[in-house]
Amino acid sequence: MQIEIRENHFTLLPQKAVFWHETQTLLIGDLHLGKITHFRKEGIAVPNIAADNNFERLNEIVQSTGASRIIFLGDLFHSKYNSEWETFCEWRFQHSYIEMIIVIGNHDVLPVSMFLEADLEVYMNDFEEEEFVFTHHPKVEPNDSKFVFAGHVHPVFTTYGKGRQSLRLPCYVVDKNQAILPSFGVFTGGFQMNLLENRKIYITTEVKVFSVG
Amino acid sequence: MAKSPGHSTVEQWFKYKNWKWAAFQKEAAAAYLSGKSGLVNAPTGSGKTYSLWLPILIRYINSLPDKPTKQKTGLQIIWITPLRALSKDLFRNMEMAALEMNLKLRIGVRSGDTSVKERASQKRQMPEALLITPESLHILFAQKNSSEIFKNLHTVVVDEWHELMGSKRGTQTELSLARLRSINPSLQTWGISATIGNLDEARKVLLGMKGNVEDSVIVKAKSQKKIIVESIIPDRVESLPWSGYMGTRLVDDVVNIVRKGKTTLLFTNTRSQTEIWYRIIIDKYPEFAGIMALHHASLDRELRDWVEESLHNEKLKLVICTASLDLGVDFRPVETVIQVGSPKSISRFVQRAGRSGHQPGAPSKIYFCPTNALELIEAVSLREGVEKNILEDRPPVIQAFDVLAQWMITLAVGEGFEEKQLFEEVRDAYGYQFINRDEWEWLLGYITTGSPSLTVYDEYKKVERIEGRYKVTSRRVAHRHMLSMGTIVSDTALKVKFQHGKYLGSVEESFVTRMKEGDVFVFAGMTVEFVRIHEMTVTVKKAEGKKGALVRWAGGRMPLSSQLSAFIRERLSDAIDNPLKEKELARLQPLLLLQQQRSMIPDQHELLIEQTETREGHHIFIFPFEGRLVHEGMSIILAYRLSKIKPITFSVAMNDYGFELLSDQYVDMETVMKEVDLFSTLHLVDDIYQSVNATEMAKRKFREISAIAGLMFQGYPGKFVKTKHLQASSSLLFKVMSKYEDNNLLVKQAYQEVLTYQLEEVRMREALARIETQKIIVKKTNKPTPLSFPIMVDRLREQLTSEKLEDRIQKMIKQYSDAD
Repeated sequence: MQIEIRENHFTLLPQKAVFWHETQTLLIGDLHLGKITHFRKEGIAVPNIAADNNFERLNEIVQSTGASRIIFLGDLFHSKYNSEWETFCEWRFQHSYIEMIIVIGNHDVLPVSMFLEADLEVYMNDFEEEEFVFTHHPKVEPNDSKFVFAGHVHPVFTTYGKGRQSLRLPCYVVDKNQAILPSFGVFTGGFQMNLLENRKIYITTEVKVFSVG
Repeated sequence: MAKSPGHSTVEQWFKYKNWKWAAFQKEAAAAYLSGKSGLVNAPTGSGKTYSLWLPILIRYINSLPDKPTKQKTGLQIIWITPLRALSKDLFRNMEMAALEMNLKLRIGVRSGDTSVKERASQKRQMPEALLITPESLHILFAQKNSSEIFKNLHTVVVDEWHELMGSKRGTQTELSLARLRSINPSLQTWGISATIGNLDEARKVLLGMKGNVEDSVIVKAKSQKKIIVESIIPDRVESLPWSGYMGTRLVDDVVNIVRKGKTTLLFTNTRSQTEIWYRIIIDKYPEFAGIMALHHASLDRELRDWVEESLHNEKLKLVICTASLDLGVDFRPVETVIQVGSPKSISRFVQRAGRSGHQPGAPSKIYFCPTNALELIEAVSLREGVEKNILEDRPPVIQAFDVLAQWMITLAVGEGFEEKQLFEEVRDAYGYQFINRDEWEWLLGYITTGSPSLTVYDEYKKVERIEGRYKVTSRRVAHRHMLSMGTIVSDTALKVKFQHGKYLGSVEESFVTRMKEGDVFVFAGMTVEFVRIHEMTVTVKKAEGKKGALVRWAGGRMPLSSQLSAFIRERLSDAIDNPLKEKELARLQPLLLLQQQRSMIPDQHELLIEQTETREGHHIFIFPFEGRLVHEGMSIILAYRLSKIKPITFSVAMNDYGFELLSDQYVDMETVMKEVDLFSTLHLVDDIYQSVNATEMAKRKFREISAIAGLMFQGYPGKFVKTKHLQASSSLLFKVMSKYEDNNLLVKQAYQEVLTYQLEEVRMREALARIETQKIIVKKTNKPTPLSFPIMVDRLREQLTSEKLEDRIQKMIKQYSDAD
């Protein structure tokens, strides 16, 4: 699904990431790496195979878009240091030709130095470029001056149909001056979004993106 | 009986108490003293404890040496009881008898409540007799000297065996018994059980596969009390709703009955229901304040103890309770029992009725208070079931690999085991008689290296093989295992307490996480305001005068038993021909006429299908009258078979009488049934497994299985692990194991449990076979009928679909684009 914002072109990928054509950039929100390993340390046994899947999906979108840059919109790593960080670093250096930027989110508790060592460009709050701001927390009242891309809330939308059917799926939320991305990596939960005036919602099934309202 | 010293002492004691041997006590005593094993079948309050405890004392007295010696005999008798609370009263009675006979026999209690000091002293020296729960018994096997502890054990009694047998706690007990018998082959095993449909099987399960059934006995207490069933019938059937399960419209009639008797127990089916009834009575009849109390499993133990104590002391006029008072000691002051809503099983109804009428010769009387109109049919059916003395079976659990895996690790933490010997021993347990070498080897692999997809992770390597013995050497593994032993896995429960510190009880996490400061809810009969939640504790303050939401507890609705369903089909069929035979059905007449007018009342040779269209879509109602679990299974099968014809999505609802398939598309059932045999038993299991819902159900079952089998550590006591996280990780485990392992026994068990317990496969096959002989009648109706309405309004729905997700969305989002 391609949309136009401030004369720039963005593809909302079914895999829950956005591709910005003009700058060949992938926007990825809320990956929450390390969560599974974190659970395991807490005694909740989850095999790491589930985590591998995130990297598979990353590879898929990097290949299909041919991106030369990735901006992570915060909550890249869910926890204190654990072995999954090494897996991430390995993946990162396999893709050393890609420029990577992170805007720090509330779950990113790793010391900044570790991000830097992994050759990420780090922004504590906002990263601005041209007409756009990339950040973790959505702005309460985004103004006309710049358009905001944010993550954090893991938006989902429920559609209803005849015969008491309903479906709850991750979604992109695009308002006049702000877009919120679905979480790339989280397998449960999500914050229910509603349709408003001047709001577009795009739900995704991993296979296809649909526009709602 | 020959007058041994033991006999004389007990005879004297009887004289001193001014009691007489009951016939069944005498019979049980004789059988026990002749060295037999067996089962005593007697109701609560009949002196069933004494029927075994007295002969045990006789044996003890006769075995005393003439001169006192210093020699310690150690543990001789184990008495297993399902509830900690029961052990207190048992202890009192058993110790009293021993003291009154001037015996030095020491009796100990061992449960989760036993203090560390007491445990330590038991470790130094075991008492001669030990009252213990199945879980605590397993913990004794995790000690390094366990065979030493049980060396001199000669008798095991399992109390309330009917209660334990049908659950994994029963399986746990079977494993303990098998082990005890292998330590001491001459062990005498006895059970005490209320009446159930499969008493013979109960004895077999108790004695194990190698047990000699011919040489054992079932002793039955003769004095079965007469039970009188009376329905509370409103003057007009219109005053009962068509659907609903609260029953509070009959509160005035109920209070009138309560006033007549000394003490009344009011049984409801859910914890929320007890809270509602308590509020309604207090609001309408404030004079009940102080003489009425609540009793359910979420309330603080101290509160419940107080209620029980007050019941004994005749301080209470009315106690509103759930199954939490089904078991346990008798409350002599109770004269009246009222059951609100269908108990769904005849056995449960009879057991509750037995809570009243303790004067010798007095009948037990139970009132049935219907919560909706159709339950009047159940009232008649219950009465018939009671009169014909029909009782449900308690089928024992078979092939529970999770419990076995836990047991193997328990033994490895203790003395360790030699696998060939343990394999033979385990096959002595009824629940594992069919286990084969392949399955056994899989389990050995599982406890030593984890299942095949987990072998790279160290935390699953729990047990090591050292010189042919399987042992746990890591203290961390042992410690974690000890903390997570047991077979009861519940939602994370949070404690509820007042700001000044008084505990009220506990609620499920799912309920509280939606609350915010200032929200009001009803708990323990009080209206309280939510203040905050911290770690595992919910702090509240009193909020009188405010209106509150009701605490909703998880916990499934019980399905109608197949025995009771059969009676209901019969009654309904009969109601057409003999409308005035029973007063309940006579009162129901207007509603039955309406059903006949709008659709029809099926007789026993007919299966009714109703089809109707509303704003919501196209409804198909099918009424097999087989209980909600069977209906759940059938709805999956039917939806799957219908969806093979064309892509379609159904939302499904059900109750004990029938189920509904609701869709946005019309299905002409008459035409479809000419082409497809929807109710065929062919490919039944395959068709169930094909549907996504079966996978979802298995995934949910897997959470309990993975916790019992030790795959998931539920956290240290007091440490808060969110249920959501546990759920998420167990479903990840499930996914990975189903994807990468063909032969994972725990995954297989999850599917088997879905078939056996969630969908009642055996019963479903019988029901489908019956339907094949029935005439299927499809009625197109304009309005909802008395039978279909209660299902139609049920909001709890599952979806079943064969449409592509993308196609479904396309259809749904049309409404948004239309609005544009």
